[in-house]
Amino acid sequence: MSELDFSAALEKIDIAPQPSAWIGHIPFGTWIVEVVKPRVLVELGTHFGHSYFSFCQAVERARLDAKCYAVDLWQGDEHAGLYGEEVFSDVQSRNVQFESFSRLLRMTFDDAVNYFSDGSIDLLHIDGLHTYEAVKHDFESWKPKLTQRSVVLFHDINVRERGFGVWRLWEELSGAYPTIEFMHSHGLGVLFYGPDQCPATVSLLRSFGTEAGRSYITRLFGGLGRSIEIDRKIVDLSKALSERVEAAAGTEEELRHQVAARDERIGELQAQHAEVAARLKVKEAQLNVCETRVSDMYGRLNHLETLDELRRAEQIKRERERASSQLQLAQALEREAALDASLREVWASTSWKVTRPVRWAGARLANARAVKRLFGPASKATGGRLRLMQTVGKVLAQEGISGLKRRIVAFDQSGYVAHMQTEPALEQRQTHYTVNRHSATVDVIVCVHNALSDVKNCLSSVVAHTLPPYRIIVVDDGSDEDTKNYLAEFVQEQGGVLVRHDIAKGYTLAANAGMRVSNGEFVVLLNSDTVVSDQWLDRMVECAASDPRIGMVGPLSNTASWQSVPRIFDEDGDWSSNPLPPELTISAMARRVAMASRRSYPRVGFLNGFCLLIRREQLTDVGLFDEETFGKGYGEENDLCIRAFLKGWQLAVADDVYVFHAQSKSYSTERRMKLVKAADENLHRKHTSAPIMSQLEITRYNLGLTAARSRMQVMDERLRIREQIRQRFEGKQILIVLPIFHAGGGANVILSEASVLQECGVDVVIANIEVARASFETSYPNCRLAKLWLSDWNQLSEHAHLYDAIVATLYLSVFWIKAALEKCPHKPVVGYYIQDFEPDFFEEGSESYRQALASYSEVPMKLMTKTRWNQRMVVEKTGKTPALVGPSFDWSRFSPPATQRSPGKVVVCAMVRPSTPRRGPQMTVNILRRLLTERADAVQVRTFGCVSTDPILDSLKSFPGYRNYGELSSAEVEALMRRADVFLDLSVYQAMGLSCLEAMASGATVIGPVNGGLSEIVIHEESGLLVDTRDEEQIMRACLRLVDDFDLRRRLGTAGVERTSIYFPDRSASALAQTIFSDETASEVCQ
Amino acid sequence: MKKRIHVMFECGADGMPYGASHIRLLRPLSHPSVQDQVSLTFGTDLPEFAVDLVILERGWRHDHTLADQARLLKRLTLLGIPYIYEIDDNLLDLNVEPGAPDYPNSEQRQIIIRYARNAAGIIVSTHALKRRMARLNPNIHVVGNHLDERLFDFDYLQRRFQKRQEFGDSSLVIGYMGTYSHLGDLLMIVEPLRRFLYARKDSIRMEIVGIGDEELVRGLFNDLPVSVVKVPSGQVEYPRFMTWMQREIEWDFAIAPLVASEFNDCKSDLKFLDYSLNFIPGIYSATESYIETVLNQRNGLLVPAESREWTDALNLLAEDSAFRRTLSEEAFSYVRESRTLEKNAVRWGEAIETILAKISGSMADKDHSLDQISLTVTA
Repeated sequence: MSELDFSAALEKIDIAPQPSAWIGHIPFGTWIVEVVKPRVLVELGTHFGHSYFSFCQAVERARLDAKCYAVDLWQGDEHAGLYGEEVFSDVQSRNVQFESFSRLLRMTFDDAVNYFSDGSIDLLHIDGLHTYEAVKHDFESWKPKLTQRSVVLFHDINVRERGFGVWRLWEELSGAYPTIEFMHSHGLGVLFYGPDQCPATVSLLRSFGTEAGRSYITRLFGGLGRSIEIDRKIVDLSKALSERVEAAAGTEEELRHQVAARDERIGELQAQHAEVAARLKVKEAQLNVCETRVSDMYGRLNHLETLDELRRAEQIKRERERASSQLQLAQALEREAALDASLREVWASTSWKVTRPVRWAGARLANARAVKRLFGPASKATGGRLRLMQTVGKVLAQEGISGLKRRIVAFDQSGYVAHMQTEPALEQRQTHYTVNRHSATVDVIVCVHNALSDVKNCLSSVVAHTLPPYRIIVVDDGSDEDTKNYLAEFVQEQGGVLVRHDIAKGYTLAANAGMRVSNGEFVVLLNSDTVVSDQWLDRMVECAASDPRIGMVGPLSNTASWQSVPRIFDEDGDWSSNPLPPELTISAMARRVAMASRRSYPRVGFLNGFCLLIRREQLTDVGLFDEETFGKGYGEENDLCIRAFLKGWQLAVADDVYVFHAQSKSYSTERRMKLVKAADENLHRKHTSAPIMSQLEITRYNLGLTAARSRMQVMDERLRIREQIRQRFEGKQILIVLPIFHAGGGANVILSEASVLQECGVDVVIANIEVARASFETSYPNCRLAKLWLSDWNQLSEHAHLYDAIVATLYLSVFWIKAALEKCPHKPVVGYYIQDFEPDFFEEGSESYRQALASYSEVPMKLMTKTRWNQRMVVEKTGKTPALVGPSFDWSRFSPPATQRSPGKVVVCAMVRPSTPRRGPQMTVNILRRLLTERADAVQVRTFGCVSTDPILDSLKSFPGYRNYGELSSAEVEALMRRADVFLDLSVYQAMGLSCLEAMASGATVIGPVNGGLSEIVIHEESGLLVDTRDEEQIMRACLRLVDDFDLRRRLGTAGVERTSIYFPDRSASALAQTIFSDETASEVCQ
Repeated sequence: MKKRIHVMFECGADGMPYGASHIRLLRPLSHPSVQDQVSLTFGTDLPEFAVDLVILERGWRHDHTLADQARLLKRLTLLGIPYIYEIDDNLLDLNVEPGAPDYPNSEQRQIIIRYARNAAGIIVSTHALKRRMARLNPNIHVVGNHLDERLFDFDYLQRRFQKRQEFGDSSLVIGYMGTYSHLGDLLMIVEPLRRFLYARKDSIRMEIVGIGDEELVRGLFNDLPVSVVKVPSGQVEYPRFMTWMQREIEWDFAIAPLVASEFNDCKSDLKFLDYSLNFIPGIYSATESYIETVLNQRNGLLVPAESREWTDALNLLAEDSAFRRTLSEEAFSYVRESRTLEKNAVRWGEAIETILAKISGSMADKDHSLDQISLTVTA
C-alpha cells in the first residue's frame, strides 16, 4: 500500500451548495481522475454537477490533457424528481470556468453515444435513471466506447428501495469484472474495464484483495467522505440557525408579553406559598413539641446506658435472644421506671440543674440524629414515607407519645437497620481525586505557653498553607513577655482572635477558652509545636465531610502515638519520634503521606490531641474538655474521645494528611510521667476500664493505620523506582496486547503496572479488539490508559511498527504479534508477560496445549513472569528462563475498611467460577456448605464469580447466612474484600494468587493453595494459612480455626496487611520496562 | 526565500490564542525584523494552503484527544510538512501530587510526550525546561521570552514614571500579577505581606491582577487595603491587555513570589520583563527563574523564601523612593536593550533553521507512508 499516494484525495474541492448523496465520494472521485489521467471522461446523469465538476476541478488542478462531457437532459427523472430550467442554467454558468476542456451535452444518453468513437472513453460515470433496466442499458450501450484501460463508476449501488436497481446490476458485474466498492453515501461501484489498467489502479485492486488493505481504504475514503458531509451539514445548520435567529427576533416581543404574564402568575404563587409556609410553621411548632417529649425519653435512656454500658449490652443481647416481643415491652417499661427513679435523684443535684441547657440541646441533637438515621429504613420497612407518616399518626392517636417511643426503640433494636447497613451495594471508589477547597468555616485554635520558636514555626505554617475561610484563635496561656508580645503583634497583623490568660491555667482550660470563643462549623485544636503543609485543612475537612457521623478527625504525624508514621514505637519500646531525614522537608513528607494514602479514613477509638478537628455538632452534643477531672492537662483528649464515642460519634484519621509534631515538652519527663499516670487513673475512675480498653483495642489493632504505616515504610523505594522509570523510559512507546472482555486478575495486574508506567511518562497503549470494547469499558470504567481498538487481530500489523516494544499477555497473542511483525517495516522489541503456565489450562498433548507451549519460543522475545514458581515451570518445560518481575497488585485501590472488624459473625468470602475447574469451584462450595452447617450462628458466606442461578450454588442457597454477588467488576471486588473477614482460594494451584493478595491488603485473613506461587507471598501461619487444596478435611480444619479464633484472624490479618505493602506495582512495572529494553536481559533470555 | 510557517497555537473553547501564544510565537514570528525570513500564518488547524513548517504549541486545543493528535500527525506526514513543538511550561510535572487538579490529565500528558517525541525539534523558553524535555527529543533549543516593543508607548510610560516620582512615599501602590494557578506562590508570602500592609495601611494599598476571586482575596487579607483589579472582558487578549496595563496600572513596586518546585523552576522571568518595561521595580523569589536575570539590589530584589526577608524587602522599597527609581531605571534599560523582539526575534529564525538543518539528513530516510501514524488510539 505504500506505493499508493492518496494525497490527491485531500485536496479541497469547491462543491455546489445543493444537497447530494454524491459529495461523500468526491475524495475518491478526484483521486481516481488524477491517477487514471483520462483522455476522455464522460458522465451520464449530471443533475447539479456535484460529481462532474469535482472531476473537472481534478482535471484542471492536475493539468491533465482530458476532454470531459456531461450528458443529461436536465429535466429530472422519477428518482431525482423533475426540476426546472434553472438547474441547467446554474450548471452552464459553473461550466464556464472549465469550458476549455468541458462540454455539456443536453440530450439523451442514446443520442449522445453516437458522438463518441469506439474505444475512446477512459473514465465513465453512470448516474442516470437508477432502475436495473436503465442502468444495464446504459452500461451495455456505452461499453463499446470504453478503452482497455478504462474505469467505470456506478453510483447508488447501496440503495435498494424506491425501484433502484443499480445494486442488482452491480452484483452481476462484480462477478464478471474486477471491481471494488464503497458502501457509504449510497454506495459507489468501481469497475476496471480492460487489461491495460494504469499502475495505480492495479495497486488499488491488489490492496483491496487483502482484508487489511480493503479495510484501510474503505475507512480512509469513508472517513474523508463523511468529513465533507459533516462540513456540509455544519454549513447547512449554520444557515438554518441564522434563519431561526432572525425568526426568533420576531417573536421576542411576544415572549416578553408571555414572561410578564408568567411573572404575574409567579407573584400569585409566591403569595400562596407564603400562606402554606405559615401553616407549615405552625405544624413544625407542633412537631417540635412532640420531638421534645420523644427526646426526653432518649436522654434518659442514653444516661442509663452510659452508666453501665457493658452490662446493659450483655443483658440486652441475652434478652433479645430469649424473650418474646411481649416480654421485651414489659422489660422496657420496667427499665424506664428505674430510669425515672435514677433521674429524679440526678435532677435533684445542683450540677444537673446548672447543665440543663447543654443537655437539652444535646438531647435535641441526639434525637434529630436518631430520627434521621431511622427515617430511611423505617420508610422502606413501611412501604414509603406517606405510609410511615400514616403509621406514626395512628400510633400517636392510639398509644400516645410513649407508645411511639416504644415502637421506635423496638424498631431500632430489631436489627432491621443494622441489616440494611451491613449489606449496602458494593460501592466503587475513585482512585483519582482532586482535593476541593473547603467552604465550611473553621476556627484554628492554637494554645501557647512560651516556646516561641516553635510557636512562630507553627503559626507561619498555618498562614502559608491554609486557604480561607478560617480564623486563627490564639490562646496565650500565661506566656512570658517575648511570647506575649509576639502573639499580640501576630494577631494584630495577621487577623484572628487573641485570648490571654495572665496566669497559666494549663492546656485543658486554655483549649476550652479557645473553643468558647469559636463559632466556626469546625474547630481545630492545633498544638503550638506543630507544622502544617499544603491542603492540610482542606483534606481534614474533606475527611469529616465524608460521613456526617464523624465528630473528630486527626492527621498522621511523625509522633502522635497511634497516628505516627512510619513507626509507632522506637527501639526502646517508647513512642517513636520518627525524625525526618535531613534531606526530607515536611512538605515532601506530607506529599508522601498523601501518595501512600487510599483515603479510607480509618475509624479509631482514640485520637491524639496534638491536632484535632472537631465538628461543631459534636462540641454541642458532647461538650468541651472536662476541666474538673483533667484540669491539669493530660487525659483530657482521651476523655473527650470516650465521651464522643459513647454518644455515637465516630473518630476518624485523615490518613492523607501529615502534620509535623516537634513535641516540645512543657514538663520534665518525671513530672510528665506522674501527670500521665494521674490522668490515666482519673480516666479509669470516670469511665471504668471496659470502654477504655475497648476503644484502645480498636485503635491499637486498626488495620487502616497498620496499612498507612507499612506503606510509608516503602515510600522511599517506591519514589526511587518511579524516578528511575522516568529517567530511563520516559517517552518510550509500549503496546500491550491485552485480549480481554471482562475484568480478571491478570488484566488487573497489567493495567495497574501499565498505569504506573504511564504516570512515569511511558507512552503505554492497550490493544484490544473492537467487539470487546463495551464490556471492557464496563469492567474498567476508570481506566485512564490509552487504548487501541482493532477490528480484528490482523489489524495489529498496521500499528506494531509504531512502537518501541510490543508485549504479549496470553499465549495466543504471541501468534498475533508474530503475524503482525512479518508485515512490519520496523520491528519493535517483543516481550511476553507470562502470568500463568498456560499449557496447563489444556489437556496435555492437545492442540491447544502444544500451541500454548510453543508460544514461549515462537518469536525471539523477552520473557518475564511474576513468581519463581511460574519461572520454574517455564524453565522445566521449555528451557527458557523468563525474567522475574515479582508479584504485585493494584496498591492504590485495595486497603482495609475504615471501620474495625467486629468479633461478631465471621464473613467468609470466596470466588466460585464453575467455568475454571482449576479454581476448585466444587471444593469451594463443599467447604462453604459445611461452614454454614457447622457454624450456622457464627458464619456468613459471600461468593462471587458466577450468576446466582448457576446449579453449583444450589446447595448454598437455602442458608440464611449466604449471599452471592454474581460477576463483579474489579472495583466491586475491592468493595467486597473490605467486608470479608476470611478469604478462601481453593484453586488447585495459583501462579501468583492475586485475589489472596488483594484480600490481604484489604485486611481479610486468607486461606490459599500451598501449591504454586502463593507461597512466595503468604507466609504460612504468619500472614495467612496455606493448605493442600485437594484435602477437604485439612481445608475445613483451617477454616474452623479462623472462624473460631478471633485473635488468630486478627494476628494473621494484620501481618497480611503489612506483608502486602511491599507488593506495590511500581517495582514490577520497572522490572517489566527494564526487561523489555535491556539488551543484557535479551541475550540472557534468547539463550 | 521566505519560509512559510504556520503556527497552531494553544487555545481554549473560544479558539483565541492565550497570552503565551502571543508572547512566544505570534509576536516574534510576525515581527518586522524577521519579515524577510518568515511568512507567518496561524490558526487552530492546518491551513488549506501549502506551508513549509508547522509550529505546534503546548497542548494545541483544550479538547484535543490522542485520536485527534494521531489524525493531525498523520496529515502532517501525508503532506510532508515537518513540525516543531513549542512549550514554555513544564506541564509534565504540573499537578502530579495526589489530590491536585486534573490538568494536564493522563491523556494530555501523553499527547505532550508524543508531540515532543515525534517533532522535528523542540523550542522551549528556559534552560531548565530544556533539561527536562531533552529526554524526549535531543533536537531541542532555548529561545527565551522577549517582549514586543511595538506594544509599548515608552514616551507615555516615561512621562508617567517621572510624574510618579513627585508623589514620594506618602501614598504607594504595591502590585501583584498572577493567575489563579499562582495562588500557592502568593500564599507563601501572605504572612509578611499582611505584616507589611498592616504596618503601613494608611500609606500603602495593594492591587492584585489575575486572581479574580474577590472572596478569596478578602479571606486572605481581611480588612487590609487589598483590592482585585479586574481586566475588562474586551481587554483580555494579550496585545490589548498590554495596552490596558500601561494605561491602568500605576504601581510603585510589585512582587513576584515563586515557590521552588519542579514545575516553577522551569518557568521564565517573564514577570520581570512585564514589570520592568512598565517602569515598575520588583521583588522576586530567588529561584531558578529569576537568579540569572535579576541582579539583586541593581535591577530588582532577589529574596529567598523566608518571611523575614520578604518583610525587609517590602519595607526597603516602601521607604526609599530613590532606590525604587534606580531599580526601575536599571531594569527598564536592561529589558529595553536586551530583552525586546527588536533585537531578539531573529533568535526564532535561527532556532528553527538549526532544528531543520539537523533533521534534513534524517528526513530523507524517513518513511512517510500513509499508515505511519495510528488513527484509532483512544483514551
